[in-house]
Amino acid sequence: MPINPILFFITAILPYIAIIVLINGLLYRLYKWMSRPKAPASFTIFPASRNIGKAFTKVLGDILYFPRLLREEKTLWLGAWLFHLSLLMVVISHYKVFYSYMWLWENLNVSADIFALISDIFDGATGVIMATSLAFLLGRRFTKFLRKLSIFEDYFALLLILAIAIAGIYIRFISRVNLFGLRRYFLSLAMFTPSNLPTDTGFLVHYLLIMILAIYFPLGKMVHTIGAGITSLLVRLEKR
Amino acid sequence: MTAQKMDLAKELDTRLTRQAFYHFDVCTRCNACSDRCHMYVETEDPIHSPAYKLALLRRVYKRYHTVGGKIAPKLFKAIDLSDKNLKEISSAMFECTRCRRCATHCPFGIDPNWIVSAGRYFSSLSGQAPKTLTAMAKAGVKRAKYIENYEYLYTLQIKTLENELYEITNDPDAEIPIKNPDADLLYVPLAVQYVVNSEKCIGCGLCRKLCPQGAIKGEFKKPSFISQEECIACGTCYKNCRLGAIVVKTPGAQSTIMPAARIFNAADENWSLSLYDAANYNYFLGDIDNAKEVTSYLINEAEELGVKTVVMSESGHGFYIMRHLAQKWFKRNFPFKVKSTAEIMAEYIKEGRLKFDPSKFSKSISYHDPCEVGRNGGIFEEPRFVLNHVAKEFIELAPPNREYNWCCGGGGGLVAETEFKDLRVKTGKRKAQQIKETKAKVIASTCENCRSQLTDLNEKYNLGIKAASLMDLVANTIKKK
Repeated sequence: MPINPILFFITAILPYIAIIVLINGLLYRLYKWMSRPKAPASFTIFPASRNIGKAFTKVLGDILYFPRLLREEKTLWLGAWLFHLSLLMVVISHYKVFYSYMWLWENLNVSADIFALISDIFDGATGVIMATSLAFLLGRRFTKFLRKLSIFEDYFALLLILAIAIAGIYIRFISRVNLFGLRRYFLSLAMFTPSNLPTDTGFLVHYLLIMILAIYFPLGKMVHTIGAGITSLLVRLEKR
Repeated sequence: MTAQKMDLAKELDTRLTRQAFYHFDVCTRCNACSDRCHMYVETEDPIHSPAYKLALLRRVYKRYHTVGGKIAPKLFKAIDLSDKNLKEISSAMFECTRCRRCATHCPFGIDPNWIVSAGRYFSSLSGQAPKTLTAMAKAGVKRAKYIENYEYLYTLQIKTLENELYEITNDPDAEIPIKNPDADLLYVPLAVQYVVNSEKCIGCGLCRKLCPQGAIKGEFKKPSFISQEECIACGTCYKNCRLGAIVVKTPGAQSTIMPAARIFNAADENWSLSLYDAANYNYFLGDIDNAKEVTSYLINEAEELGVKTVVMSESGHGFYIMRHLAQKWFKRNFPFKVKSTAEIMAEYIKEGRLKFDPSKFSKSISYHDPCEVGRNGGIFEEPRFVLNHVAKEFIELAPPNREYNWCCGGGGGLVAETEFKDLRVKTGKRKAQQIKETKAKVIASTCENCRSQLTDLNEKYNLGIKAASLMDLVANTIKKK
């Protein structure tokens, strides 16, 4: 069977482009920040700690459960925190795409049926939480003042992730993809000899959108993933 | 016209620091900050939203310095430097009290204060800054630079204050030393500012003749006015006006020098009064070069006198600049420590150098954390410690307090600028509610700006409180030896 050139581009060339853009783009953003002159001003908000270890612990807390948001914006906190939690859950559950961890469950004496049930519940919960929290975050953007504040990018990022989530739910629960085929494909991709190219439409949509996200990632607001720790540390650490 | 605007855009690029870009890029426009701002809550005006302030400057930057903004400005909502936009930026930046309450509620800890600072300087370059603030900033530099002209008259003024001090304390040893070479402690007061009350002034022209700077202008039989750019606050006009038409606008001398003198003398401190002013209007203008210059004179004075401690009077930003910014600006460590008035008073109490007469003060009292002293300066416990000794009953302000305290609405130079009076009284409504809930009779604070603003709020909202400065309260309750 001859290989469709578009399919070949998406599955065998674009992944490499996406990962190169993602890593280099983020490094470039860091470089752009670092090449700027530093302000001598102090950004600390008291009470802060002088000990860098304690400050890091607080920054870690900021990243894990957004305590500043929790104080007065309870609804937004719930939406934002659940969304980020579901992202973490997604990363955990995608592990099985690349590698089988049945041995873990076998050692724990869990039968395949129960494992499948747990897996279904976990993935189902992830999908529902992610889709609803994204819908909430997107709906917020249309309220009076936020509409004036938001730019195109804000809607684009939310819609893109929502589309990825819906495509993901589709290939996980409605039209299931063959994981064994995918595992062989990703292994070959990692060896720089792409073979076993996937042809499932649902998966291709999901995959393509993720690569678009990876390319967009360093360009826009997504840099808050690498910048949030820095800004938080500026506020938490009292410099002498 | 366009060339000038390109220069402005270039200037914006050079003024924005690394930290500003973290803030620009990390902000996800989640709008968690807007409802935390006392100004936005009361006015619902977009320009008072911290996120919008940040976005405004960012949109200008995008229009001139990024590919996306140059090609498709509509898509990125990039805006150019039209007069309308410049005006909007100016009012967004100058109508901010820089209290940083929004930063305490930002999930990323983004701090619009420094964007506002850059934006203010940018606005002043484009000629959009409020006139009073610009005038005061210029006068500030002049006063510090030509201190020799000002010194003699200032000394005379202090001598009259010293006479008043004898009358109040009945202490023959009471003194207000200036340029004391053996001093351990340098106290930096707030200088006074004189304005003409046009209702009382008949235009006799006496002050115009007497003013050593020629700063008072006007015509015969018409109210005079004082040009704040040239005024060095010597007080000649104030003393000589027979109609009482010259008004002291910031009661700096009365509310910061007198109580300080009473406290330091009671504690037997070996102190000296600074010739310079604790207020630094160039900082409010975002003009860091001039702010540094004004501060450098003060640092020189402290180093020449060889003092161990510099105490900044109850001026929030003055304390913040000396304590947290000055060493970083000049990239060196000073041989003295910078302390707030609350810290030094707490020290005296701990050492047993100040004793109080608790019968003198029986009202319930609460403490308002000024932004520049609390959240930005890190002084939370000392004022509460002092107040617990001074008053019988100390009540915490109704929550949110401490680092989450509502701004009084007078910070960022707004109290000093007459054109913002309506705005700041209107936006102080949140603070007024909070004070009402607290049910304290006296609200103390360690910032002159906050005290003036709380007094205005008291009048407008009938709170029935007294806004007092912490030093005043302490000075009035000291037990006589």
